[in-house]
Amino acid sequence: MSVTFPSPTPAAPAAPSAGRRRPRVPFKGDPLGRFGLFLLIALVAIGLFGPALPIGSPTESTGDRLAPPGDGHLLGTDELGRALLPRIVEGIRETILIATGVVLVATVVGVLAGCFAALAGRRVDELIVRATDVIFSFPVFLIAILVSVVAGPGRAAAMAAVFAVTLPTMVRVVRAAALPVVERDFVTAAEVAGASRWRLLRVHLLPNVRGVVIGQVAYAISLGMLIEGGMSFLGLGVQAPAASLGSLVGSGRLYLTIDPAYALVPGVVLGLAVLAFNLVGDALRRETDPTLEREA
Amino acid sequence: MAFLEARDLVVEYATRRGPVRALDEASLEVAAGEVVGVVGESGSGKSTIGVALARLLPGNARVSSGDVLVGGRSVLAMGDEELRALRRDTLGFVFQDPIGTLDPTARIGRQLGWMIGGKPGDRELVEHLERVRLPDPERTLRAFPHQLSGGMAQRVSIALALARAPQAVIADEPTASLDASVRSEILELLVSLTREAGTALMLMSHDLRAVRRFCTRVAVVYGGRVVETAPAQELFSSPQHPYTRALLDAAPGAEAPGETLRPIAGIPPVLHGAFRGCAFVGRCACAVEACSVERPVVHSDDHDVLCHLAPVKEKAA
Amino acid sequence: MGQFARFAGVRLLIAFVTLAVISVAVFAAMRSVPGSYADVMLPTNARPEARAALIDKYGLDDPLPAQYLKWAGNALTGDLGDSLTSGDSVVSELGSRAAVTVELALLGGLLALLVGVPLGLVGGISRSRRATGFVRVGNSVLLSLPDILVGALLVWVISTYEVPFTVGGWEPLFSDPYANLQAALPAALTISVLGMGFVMTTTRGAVAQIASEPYVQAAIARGETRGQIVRRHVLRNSSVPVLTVFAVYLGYLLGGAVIAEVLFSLDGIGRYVIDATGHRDYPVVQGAVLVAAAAFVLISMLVDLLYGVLDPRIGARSAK
Repeated sequence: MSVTFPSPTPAAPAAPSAGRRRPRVPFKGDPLGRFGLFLLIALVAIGLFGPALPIGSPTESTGDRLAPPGDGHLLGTDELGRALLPRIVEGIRETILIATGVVLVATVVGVLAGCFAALAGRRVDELIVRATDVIFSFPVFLIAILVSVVAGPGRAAAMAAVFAVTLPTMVRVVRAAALPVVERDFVTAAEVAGASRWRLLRVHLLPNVRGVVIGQVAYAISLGMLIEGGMSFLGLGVQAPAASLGSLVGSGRLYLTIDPAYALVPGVVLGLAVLAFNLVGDALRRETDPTLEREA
Repeated sequence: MAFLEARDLVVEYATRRGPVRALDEASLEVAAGEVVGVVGESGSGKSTIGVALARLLPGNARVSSGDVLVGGRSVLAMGDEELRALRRDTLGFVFQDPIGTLDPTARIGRQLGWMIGGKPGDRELVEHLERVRLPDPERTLRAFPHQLSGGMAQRVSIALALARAPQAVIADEPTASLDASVRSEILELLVSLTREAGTALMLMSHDLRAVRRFCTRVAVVYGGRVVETAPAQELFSSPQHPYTRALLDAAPGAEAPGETLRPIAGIPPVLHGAFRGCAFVGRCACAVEACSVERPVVHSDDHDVLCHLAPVKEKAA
Repeated sequence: MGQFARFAGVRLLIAFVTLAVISVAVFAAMRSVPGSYADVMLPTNARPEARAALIDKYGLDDPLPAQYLKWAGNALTGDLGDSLTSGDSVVSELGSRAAVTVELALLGGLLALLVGVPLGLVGGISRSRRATGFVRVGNSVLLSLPDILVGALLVWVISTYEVPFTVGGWEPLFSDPYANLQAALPAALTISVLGMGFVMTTTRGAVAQIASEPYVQAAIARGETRGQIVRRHVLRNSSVPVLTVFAVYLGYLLGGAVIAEVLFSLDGIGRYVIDATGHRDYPVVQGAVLVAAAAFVLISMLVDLLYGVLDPRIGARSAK
């Protein structure tokens, strides 16, 4: 038996929401999210510390060419006799680094552009939205091909493609999260009181878009890894003797009938990495978006 | 004999902050052909009564106890098919946002055709729109909802609600989102069409003046309970429940010249579970000790009042 | 109808401007390749007369804007130059390979819709915990399957086991449909997996959102059946966001087909361009990028027009 009479003073603006009191156990009650997080940490750890393990060099030939997995070489060797295990470890690092690095840059640009679109007038906003529309729907492969024609194939081409794919979505997500905040009274009040745009951004917008941005970053990295995989597979991205998961599948595909593990194992690892980031992104979104909670 | 009846209905919503009780043993009856006004502040639970009559409660709501009857049959006990037939043929709904309740991608004629069923001819569709006094029915049939004004869209909604000649219409704030200039026209239309057809009408509204003008009986809802029910004239001339009196005092238009409006102090309660006392005790100027510990019971027959003080008043009168 | 015509006019203008911007980008990219344009566009053993002819044709001694106009004019009249490696006209080379790429893209898109829409619909409507959990896992997996892995797996399976599919061996669709599908289906499946995930996610979100719209609540109150609500309201209203994602995905497929063409050794535009990129066959790269960009702009425009048909509000809003 309880009756509460809420205080008649209007609720204080929930500006810098979230934060401080985050749940201690990440993704509590969300086994899928925890699985994803575990997978993600494991893959990042392998990528970071793998080179220090005694698994051999990714670039030195062992003498055996296209050896099957098993005797002597855990995952076999490639057409030049390089052991695949260290190459895959290097591929994990390369793939995650490229995707993460580019997405972080895209995030900074996207957050600034998205908030700017929300804060700026109607005209500017519309222009930014239109521009992201065009980039977003432009086929990535054309961008990668153009870059690789001008700058030569290599990391730059793959990175440009990843950037072009992830930036527009980031801008949109940030803008969508920032718009309702901008329209809330306390921001208008701050503006009237003469707060600078920079201050508005820092104090009011960033804390409010943080939640969606973190989830979006995870999604973007997973998409980025897929794009990088495709580019390097086609020979437009990472070039030998360096290796990314995509470039390994690309060189392994020629030997699918002799040594299927050569192409399939890096492909599966890429799939797991993408899955890990996807699941973590999904779990983060569930944590920050209260409306999703009830549907389950 | 009541056609629509909510009997000691308790409805609770599951929220992030625990259960919230929207209806706390609310009882309400609407007889066949009767026009009943249901008044109360936002959040008092009056909309919940309306949707509960057709078991249209949102997914997080639950009927904890009590019953809902339409035509003597328990709505809560109905199977899916029976419930659908009830919604389709026996009841009609008119909602607050007329444009939002029409499918934005279908022309009006198509939506009306769905409601009537079969393959209605154009003539039949036109007749339905003529009935709600739409000036250019042929053109309206070809229009999409976004091309209509709020008033026109609400006429269409009324036509939809009446299309299958229901026995009762439940209208939840049907004019709240409309321009003030068309409000009384729309209400008049709704009331006259239901009267003609002998259809019962349950009208949820903030607008006390409209309720007084159109309704034969009025129910006052507060804190999830129906605190007073009486014939309209009687309720407005001699309100018994302190909340009703406060509500009438706070309404513009009812004051005598020179008198000021008196807003009700405080805000309505949010119930989290069963509450023993009177819902209004926190804001009541004449509360006595019993009001906070004992649940009031209904007094009198034709004029129901849920108040410890009511019989005293009656004797005094 | 006047309203719609205006809406269509605006879209046409946008398409034209987009194409103009893209062509400038391609032009700029080709001119920024190290070396003079004439050297880039001619085989290394070209004779001086050929060089003079090229300089004359593209006005390479003129200022850049004039060069652009000349180049764009040539492209518009269907002259994209000759391949450096084979010497054949780029336009005819692209034309002979277009059928493969277009069929792959369409088939892939179709598969994505056929799988993604029903799964998303189930996920968006179902209330049972089990179904939503299953859909969530399935969705994450579909979004995480790299096309290169799916393709490599299919190639391996097809070449190792007895299955009614082939790697390569493309027959034109109309001369031998069965043989055509034997080669096209696994390739189309390869590039459709990501699209299945995208379409499914979008459908699920749109359906869940539409289920809470007032007009769906009103439809329930009017006693419509579940099937009627899905058919009359949910499908139509969720088609706009699904179409948006699908259009983006079709653009991706135009390029994504490359992966399938390479894996399954199919002679499409994509593989042709990738090979040309490796050989620095610039006229081919430039021509193919332009043609693909034009196709993409055309698709976006058609999709935009379709929006106006599917949701009458959109046409009305943007015509204002």
